[in-house]
Amino acid sequence: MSVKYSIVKLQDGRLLDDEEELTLMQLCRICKVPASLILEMVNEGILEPKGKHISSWRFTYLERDKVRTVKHLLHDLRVNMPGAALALQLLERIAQLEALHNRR
Amino acid sequence: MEYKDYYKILDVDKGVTADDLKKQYRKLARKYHPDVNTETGADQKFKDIGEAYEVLKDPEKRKAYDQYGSDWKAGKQQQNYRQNYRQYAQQGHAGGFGGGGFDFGGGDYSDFFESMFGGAGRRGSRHTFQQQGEDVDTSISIPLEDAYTGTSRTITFQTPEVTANGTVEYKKKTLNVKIPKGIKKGGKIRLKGQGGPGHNGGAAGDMYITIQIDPHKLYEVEASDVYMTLPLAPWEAALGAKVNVPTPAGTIKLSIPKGSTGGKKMKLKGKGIPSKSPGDLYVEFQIVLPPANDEKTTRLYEQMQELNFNPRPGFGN
Repeated sequence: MSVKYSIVKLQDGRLLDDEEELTLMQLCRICKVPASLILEMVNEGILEPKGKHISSWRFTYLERDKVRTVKHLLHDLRVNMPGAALALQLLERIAQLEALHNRR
Repeated sequence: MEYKDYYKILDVDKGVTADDLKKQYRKLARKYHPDVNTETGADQKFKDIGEAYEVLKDPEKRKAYDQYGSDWKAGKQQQNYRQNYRQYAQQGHAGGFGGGGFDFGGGDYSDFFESMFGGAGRRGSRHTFQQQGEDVDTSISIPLEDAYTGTSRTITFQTPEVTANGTVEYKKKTLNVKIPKGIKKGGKIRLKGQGGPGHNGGAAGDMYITIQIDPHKLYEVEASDVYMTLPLAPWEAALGAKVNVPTPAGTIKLSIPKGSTGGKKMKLKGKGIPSKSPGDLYVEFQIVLPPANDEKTTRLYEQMQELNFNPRPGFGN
């Protein structure tokens, strides 16, 4: 009698904290958004890239979440950029308060 | 296949006007948007709301739904309608699904919707140029102890794939993932090329896994900091003591300073989750009084009463 084994390769998870930084174009590609949207988010203070000039801007992978959330809010709820920035700020505040509440 | 009551989903009457429908949709979309509402099931609710609105806002689809929707199990009507609708859609009347050059997320409709309106609602692509696969976001929860040591988990998830005829299908995929030591709560892991497959030779998408920490009876976790409460007897706090404290990395002997009070916090630097910048372990003292339910304890409390200790100095009496 033959027994079939399915071998699942162990995938090395890589911590995003340790990842290399992203250029503007790389961030656009992984978030599937136009550069103009990232520029708007930087102008609104939602994203704070390292580097002075656009060509030297560097983002972290953790900023991908912010871009995706803003993208969804703009599209799904038809808010404008300042509205999305306010929503993000309030969501962060709620997360902080929930964490504080859970600790008590 | 389950019948979907789109009016009930949007909590509107059958005679709802287009304006009121739009208002109600926007209200519910704000409430259940998965980026805003983290409660379990909000994601599905948001999808249902979107699907219901997609049908009811379009007079053609609404008419069809009102006419055939509740009798959907009667297969013949279904087939007839579907054929008619497809012809209508092909003539370019039914629209509003298409996207621009960028993906803003979108159509993920129920079987009920699909069987009624065909693939018209699916966002797919018939492009012949290369297209990168979809990124997949998922999350798993691990015990706190595993965050200190690293672990591995087998995860099964669904990945979207664009088929040859442009529709999106979900396929099951299983991965055995190594989770490195020192992942903080809410931390993310990226698995390059493990998302949805690319189209026409495009690169595969990536997989992003958010790590959550299982609830623990002793500890609360925030990012890489760990919080715990340490119960102490009054004399341990008053006189100082050395007590054994179970930390996620093993038991340590903690010196309680003389004169400690309830609510005081000790910070054990670097004893939180050992990430790149290690977290701290915060130990909060909680004074536990022995219950005065025997003669000896009662006598000791009576002796303490003689101290004339005022626990409420701020009350003014």
